[in-house]
Amino acid sequence: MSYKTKTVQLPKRLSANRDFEFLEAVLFETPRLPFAIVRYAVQGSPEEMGLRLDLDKQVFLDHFEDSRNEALASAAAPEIVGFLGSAGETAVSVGAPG
Amino acid sequence: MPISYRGAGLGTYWHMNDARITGFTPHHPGAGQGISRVFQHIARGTTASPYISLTRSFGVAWGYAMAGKKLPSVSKSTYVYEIEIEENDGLGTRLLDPVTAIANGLGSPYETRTYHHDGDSAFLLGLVDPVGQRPSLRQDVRFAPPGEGTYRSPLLHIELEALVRSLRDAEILAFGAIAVGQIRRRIEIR
Repeated sequence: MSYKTKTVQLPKRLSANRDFEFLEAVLFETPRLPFAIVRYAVQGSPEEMGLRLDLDKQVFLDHFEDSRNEALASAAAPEIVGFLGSAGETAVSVGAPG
Repeated sequence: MPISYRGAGLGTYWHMNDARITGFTPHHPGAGQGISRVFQHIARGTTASPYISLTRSFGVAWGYAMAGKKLPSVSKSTYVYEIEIEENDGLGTRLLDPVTAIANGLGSPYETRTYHHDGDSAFLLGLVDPVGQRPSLRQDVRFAPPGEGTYRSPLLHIELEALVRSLRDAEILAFGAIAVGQIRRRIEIR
């Protein structure tokens, strides 16, 4: 298994509130894949599993049973893609398989 | 018999549940099929779908397997399922090529309603790669002189969007459940 990733911090403005915050997005650089893994926190506690974001479709491939969180995530997906596509993205770390 | 694939990334349902034991089921098996549901399934990622996405490309499935809810590692492998569905095998699964289905539903060139965009020739690049080619997607429409129109981005109909996404994924849709006997093997990606 061989790949390289880039992790981009997501600004707080992309999160609707402090109870549900998007933290960072992991992008696949080599090979380049049209997906990101978006890490998030619920009530300040980071979740172990992230959300799969399809960068082309601008939708999350994972969904919440909680309709409020689902609505927040759906609305944020194109905003996150827009941010990742902007020139202002900042790589905070480069990773490889552990 | 053509082989199809389906990737299962870490933390996803078909990674935690072995489809070789249960078979695959769609999110919403009771939903009726139709071209609108194909559009929603492919372009919007809706879960209220009677379809299961497969791909003819191992490479595409590999990408889905890599991009799970968590990064894979040497000790935490991901999976690609290999699936073989025969026509009229009595198991009830029907395959649908979404590109063919969408193309068959497009109107004639005499109709006003169209799948065509009205951007410049780079617009499609933006649609294919909205992150890397964002300016092409967000370009301003040029209007034929002497008229001027409302400032806007090019028209993008869901037909074109779904066609492009289907082509990206070399996608085949299965309508109905995929039985255990139609799953040839689960390939471990390390």
